[in-house]
Amino acid sequence: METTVNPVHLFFVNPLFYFWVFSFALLGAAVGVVMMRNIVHCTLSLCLAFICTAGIYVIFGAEFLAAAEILIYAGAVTVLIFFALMLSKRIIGRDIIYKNRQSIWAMLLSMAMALVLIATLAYGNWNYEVDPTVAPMDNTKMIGRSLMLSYTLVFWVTGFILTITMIGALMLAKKD
Amino acid sequence: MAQVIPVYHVLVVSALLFSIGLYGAMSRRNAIGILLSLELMLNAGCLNLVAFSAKWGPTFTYQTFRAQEDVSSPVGQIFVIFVITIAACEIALGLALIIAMYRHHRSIDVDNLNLLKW
Repeated sequence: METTVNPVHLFFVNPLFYFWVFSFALLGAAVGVVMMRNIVHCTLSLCLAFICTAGIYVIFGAEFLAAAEILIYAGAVTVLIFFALMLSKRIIGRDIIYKNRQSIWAMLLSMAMALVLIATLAYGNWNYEVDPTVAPMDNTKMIGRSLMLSYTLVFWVTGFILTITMIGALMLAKKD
Repeated sequence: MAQVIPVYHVLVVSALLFSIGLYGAMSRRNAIGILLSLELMLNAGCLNLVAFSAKWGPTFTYQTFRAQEDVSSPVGQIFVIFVITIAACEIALGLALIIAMYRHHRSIDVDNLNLLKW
């Protein structure tokens, strides 16, 4: 007996649909980051962009990265930016010019950059597809194991860089 | 209906995101706005890495590390972890620099920073 499936249901289990939902939200939030006048609104829009990026990571089977993105970017980095905003006043005002003189040229150059990138894509062989349903579900275990086995040196160096950065940021930000 | 995502969709989204971030980094006067745009550009790169990792990561890593049988890892996701770490370092250092700059100049407008310009 042949079962009939409602095509609307098929549409809503399609990962491509969710990918484009998150992508449009991501691009809209990114335009908000570069276009809005008030820098606090820009920071909140950046937080939305990070959350949408985490959604796309979940679609591609990278759950650990999605959690790290939410925790580090949408949590810590946004709060850090808000602290810096509160420490430097006189930037939240209605009459502050927020774009410089080369804004038109920057717009043209970034449009040219997007055109070049997409034209390069059109000439390449990118016709393969990602199947999110076969992505391994024990990503976190595999990431942790390979961080400890084959990327140990990079792991140590990254920890060293974090320490140096913390000392450097303290030295730069303290009163002299 | 297909259950797969063609990879050039991700690449197009990432290219657009990178260009938006580039525009913000070039056209802002506020130093914190420039940092926000830099984060957008880093995210565009990470998106590409995760998409490629969903397709190629386990296969290629297994072929590379055939000698050690238990190494099978999504390489692109490990790259993204390091990128996130370095980006956190970068934004902490950048905000410390901005606070130091505000203390000396009483402004974080990068157009006013012409001390080294002849």
